[in-house]
Amino acid sequence: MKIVCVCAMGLGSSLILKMNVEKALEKLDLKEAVVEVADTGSARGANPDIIVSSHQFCEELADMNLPLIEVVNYTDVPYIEGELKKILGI
Amino acid sequence: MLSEYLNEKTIQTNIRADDWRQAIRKAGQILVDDGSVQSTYVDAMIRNGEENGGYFVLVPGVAIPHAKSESGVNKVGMSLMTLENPVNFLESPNNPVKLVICLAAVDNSTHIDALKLLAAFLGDECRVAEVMAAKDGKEVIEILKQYN
Repeated sequence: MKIVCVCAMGLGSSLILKMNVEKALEKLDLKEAVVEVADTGSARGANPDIIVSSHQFCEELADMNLPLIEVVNYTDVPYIEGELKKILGI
Repeated sequence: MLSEYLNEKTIQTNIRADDWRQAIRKAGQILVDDGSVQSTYVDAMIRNGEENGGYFVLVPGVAIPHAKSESGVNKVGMSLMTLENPVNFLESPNNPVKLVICLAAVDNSTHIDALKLLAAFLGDECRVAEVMAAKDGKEVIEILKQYN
């Protein structure tokens, strides 16, 4: 399963988001999931299963028809965990 | 080591900014002065806001302005500035901003260790609140000592 964290640059906010998504995955014991970062341009080509990002990028990528986790606070790991649980039905 | 990037040279407290652009200019100037970036990078951080909105306000009250390395980064750098008065950064659910931390990266891996420490700091609401309320740079440095 590939989770892609998206932001405008792919080197600041998305990296921080990736770290916290990985924390959430650890808590959920989801070892097979891979987390990558991308900017909005390369997100499409990255073949994600799930996208994690802030509101405006989620809006931009809504046409990909993928499960989206829209974050407000990038460090809210319990929130990310909760959203992952909902998406994965666990 | 967070103090490698955030230290007496790169921390300023209780700076007045009338709007988000001025806040980024002032925090960005710290990175210009310490040689991490060229002034074009400061322009790029502002452009990032204009083009992409306030997405880089990542947690309540904290903005992390940054731009692509090609916009004028000489070396990895971070600056930290607390604002005298909170300022709204474009449309962000995490407004208003009291703490600005500018990031200059050269690629998406060299600064990873520092970024991990920064992420740990951002995840701790209490430490963030303490930094926002700090009277001077020494206090901030003291608070950030645990991130090493």
